[in-house]
Amino acid sequence: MPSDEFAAIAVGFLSALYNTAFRLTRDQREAEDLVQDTYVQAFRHAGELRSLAAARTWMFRIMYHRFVSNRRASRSRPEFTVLGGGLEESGGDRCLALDPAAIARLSRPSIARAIEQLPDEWRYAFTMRVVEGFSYQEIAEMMDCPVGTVFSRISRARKQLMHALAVEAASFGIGKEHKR
Amino acid sequence: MTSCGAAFGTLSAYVDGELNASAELELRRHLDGCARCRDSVATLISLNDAVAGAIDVKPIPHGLRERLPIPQSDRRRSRGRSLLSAAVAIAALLSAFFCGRWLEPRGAGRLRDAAEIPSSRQKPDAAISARDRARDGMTLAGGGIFLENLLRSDQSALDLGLIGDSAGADD
Repeated sequence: MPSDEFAAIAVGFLSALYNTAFRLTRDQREAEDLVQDTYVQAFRHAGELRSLAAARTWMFRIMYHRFVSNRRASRSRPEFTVLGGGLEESGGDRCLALDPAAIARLSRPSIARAIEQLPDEWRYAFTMRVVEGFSYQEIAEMMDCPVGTVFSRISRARKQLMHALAVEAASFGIGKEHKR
Repeated sequence: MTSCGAAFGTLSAYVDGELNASAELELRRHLDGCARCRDSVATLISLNDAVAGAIDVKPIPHGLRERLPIPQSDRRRSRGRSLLSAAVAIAALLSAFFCGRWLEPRGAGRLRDAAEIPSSRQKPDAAISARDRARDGMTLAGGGIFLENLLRSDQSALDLGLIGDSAGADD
């Protein structure tokens, strides 16, 4: 893979990569370092890239793996959380009490807070799908896991998010909270 | 599982367009007869929109681009484009400023005439509206020249091949 062609494409991913890095690390300096590491690795191994069409997924994959290995290496920071539980532990199908009108009345910060509360792997898979538009297959390649796991993480993320937003909405008297 | 039997995960994958053809067809048939699942799908779609709107898009921090191992040719091209854009913006602002000054005495004179010497037939309201018209005239003339200069500078840059006519490389 010629480096010039790859460079021209890779530069175009900078904004999305930085924003994803920021969502992962929640820290500007750390996000900048992660993006820099990602580009260094990507340029070093650009020859291994099969086609330019795969460059986007490939760079996000490099970044995700750098982030996970940095987190593992750093003992002072909390571990990357992997939770197995779903909504079953936190309130059944109450999430379905939420409706589009109630969601529309919730503020952006309250939605952003609920997203932040998601377990990291669920949040990553979910935002990669909803915000960055990656397919389940691409997310599975990034996270080195089966597509079924992505399916499950995204579904659980949605359930937990809807539950959190239903509770938030009910606390403001928006919509109604009920258990099915 | 929702009470009607459709799995939440299936609805979730459906709104993402990730079901295979046969599963999607089966779910569509189910949705035709199940208002509760249709509501759930509508809620999931609203949730996607709300999430996409709630996440801030942060600007690329100053200096990050310089830290990346991008080949020099790409970086020079990018920097040259930024400098040219800045020069065009400054030129446009200066043009607008000087055009505004050039127009000011005539505009101010008309404004004084209209405000201080209302004719016998003119009511006070008419003087005010004449003043507004004079001010509007100044604004329009200045804005027109500003836009004209801006377009001309940009077109010249395009003609010279200094900038591309496509969007920036960042996004």
